[in-house]
Amino acid sequence: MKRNSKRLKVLVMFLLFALILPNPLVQAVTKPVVGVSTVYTEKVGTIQVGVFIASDSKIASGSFELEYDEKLLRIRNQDLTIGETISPALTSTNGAKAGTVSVSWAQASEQTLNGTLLTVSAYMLKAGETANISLKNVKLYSGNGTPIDIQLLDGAVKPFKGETKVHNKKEQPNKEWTVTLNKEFNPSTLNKHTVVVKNSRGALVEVKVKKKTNNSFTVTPISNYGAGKYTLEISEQVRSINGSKLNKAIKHEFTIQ
Amino acid sequence: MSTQKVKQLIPLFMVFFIVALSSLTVQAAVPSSLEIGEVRSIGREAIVPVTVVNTTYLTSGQVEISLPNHTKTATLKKFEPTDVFDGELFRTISSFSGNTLKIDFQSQTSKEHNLNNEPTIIGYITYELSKDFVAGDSIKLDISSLVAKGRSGTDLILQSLPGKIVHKMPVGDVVGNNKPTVAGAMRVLQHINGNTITDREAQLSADVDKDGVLTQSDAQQILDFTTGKRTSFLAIEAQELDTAVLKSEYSEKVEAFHGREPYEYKRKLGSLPTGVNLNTATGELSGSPTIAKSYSFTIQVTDALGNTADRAFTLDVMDSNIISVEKLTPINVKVGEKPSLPSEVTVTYKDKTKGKEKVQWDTVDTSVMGEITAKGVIGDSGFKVTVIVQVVNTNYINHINVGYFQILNFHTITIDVNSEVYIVNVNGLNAHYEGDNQFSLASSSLTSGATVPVKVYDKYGNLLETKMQKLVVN
Repeated sequence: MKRNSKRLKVLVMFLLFALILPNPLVQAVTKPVVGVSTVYTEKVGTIQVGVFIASDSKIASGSFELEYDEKLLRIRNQDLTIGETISPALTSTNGAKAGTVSVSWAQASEQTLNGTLLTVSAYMLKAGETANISLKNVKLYSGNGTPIDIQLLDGAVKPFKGETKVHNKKEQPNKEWTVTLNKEFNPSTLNKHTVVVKNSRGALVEVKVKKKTNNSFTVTPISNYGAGKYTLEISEQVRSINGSKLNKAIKHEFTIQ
Repeated sequence: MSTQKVKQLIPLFMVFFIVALSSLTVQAAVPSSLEIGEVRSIGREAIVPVTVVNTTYLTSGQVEISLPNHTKTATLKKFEPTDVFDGELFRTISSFSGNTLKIDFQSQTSKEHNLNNEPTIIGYITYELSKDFVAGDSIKLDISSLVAKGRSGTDLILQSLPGKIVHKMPVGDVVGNNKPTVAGAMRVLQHINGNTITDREAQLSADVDKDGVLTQSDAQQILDFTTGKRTSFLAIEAQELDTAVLKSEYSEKVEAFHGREPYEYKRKLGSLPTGVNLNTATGELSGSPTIAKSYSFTIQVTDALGNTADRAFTLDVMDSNIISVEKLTPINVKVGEKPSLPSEVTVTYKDKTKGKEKVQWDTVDTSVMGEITAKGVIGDSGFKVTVIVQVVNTNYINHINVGYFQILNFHTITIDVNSEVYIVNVNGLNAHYEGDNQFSLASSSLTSGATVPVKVYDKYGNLLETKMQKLVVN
């Protein structure tokens, strides 16, 4: 597939990584990351927000809260779905109190966790507004009950104000994109929530996001794309290795023949 | 609407009003209150919530909370209002005078806010605990004054529920975080997987549903507490009710734990035996049953904060020549071993005479640590006998030595125990610690040849083991 696919470099130019949050290199690499995805929308309606984790440390239990503005977002108990990383664990979710979502989980044995902790089917109540979603009281424990240090990435539902590029050439259904950044990125911040592909109706298309080199990654469809228009979105939550965030989110529009 | 339709709707309206009235009755059982939390702590501080309970409209309030005079084991450190009382709906001023805390809150708009009868935390008081605050200690937190305004500035009568700090592991903590956390739930799951919790206090803290054994249900309840899905671990303790005998006096008690007293008990489902009544204040089942059969029912308890919990019970009423059986003391057994259950028990017959009857015991599964009930039957009478079996991983009492000076009618008893034992009690008398895990007692009040209970406790006052010891020189 790699042979057939033409590599297109989305060269994110100089200073796309602004050094906003300088962090010690070692900490940024080793600390588990718990983050909330940033979703771009200008409309009122339902959107999918993900809470993700990337951790080399072994974890047996954890808990977190999401804090949001109830005047901008509506989240109910039935809007919460436990993600694949903790679905084998005993879990508890509570979205009954407006403005807060609480999640906790526990299992007997510890393991590395990489993927989705929770998917929230939230309803954006006001068009054109920014609804921040903050992580609070995040706790992770190893199998012997030792607390684990964490790096947090808050998310938001907001209008897209990044850079949009249009790729005019029609591509094959199995198109693999290689995205090259001008700096080394933190692989813990690269996942299907920070890099997404949407179809022309705005629905998410399942893709595999994989690190290729220290400053590049690939985006491949799980099933072939159908004919039509798509948008590859890279949120500013993809962080550099020293913790700074992407200066601007990127949309890359392409067409499958 | 036709007259016919109106007639058809009348029963529906009646049902609606009955349901509405019954819900009003439930709410009325829990008055508007200001509650100072009853908190357990094994650390150097205790964080105590101050909560308005079962209140609709609130405009303002002033409360004074004080430690008893001359308290040296706790010091008032700070008060932190919640967001609601720190600007969202109310503004709050707090001040200290020694160990007395004054809290004054006022609606931001000067108008009442509707709390919808939901428990609403005003804030958290932090007390620093000294190293002299040890197991078994308890400190009262009194409400020395309380006034509040409700709707349109009218006086609001709030019942005062004073608090306390107890030196015990918080319910659901399990791992020593001084509060329930997901790590506690994880530890319960590890226990179920075979990595057992051996500390008695941690076991009791983990058994949040009070059924005597640690299961996923306990872990789930701890998780639900951490997400706020549940705000209390109120539970009625599981137990096998003694068999009742037709037309004989019966008395047994169901008991609630982990809630805010006073409790109110009621029958929720099923039927009590005719002639047996439930004391709603104490949970005692008493009376003389008049029909012999097996009864199943569910008892519900409501605590002072309006939390509820249920437990299903079965009570067998039999027509028997035996009217009661001696209460058997709990038996300790190591994991995987066979418990030493008595082959016969002392019974009282209808004519009030006593006798011994043989017991056939069911097999007892001791593969998992915890508390289980061994069940037996007296001969072919069908009369049930039960005894609590504590499945443990160690012997708490290693050896008991009895000496006797006949001239002085003086017993000397030495008890070798393991390091978890802090208190030893022989027939109600506390033994003296001699060091090196040995306790001793010298007494002239014991009867030679009698069998007396030797009870050992951990530092939190939890009963670890009871052994019946015959007072003969060994």
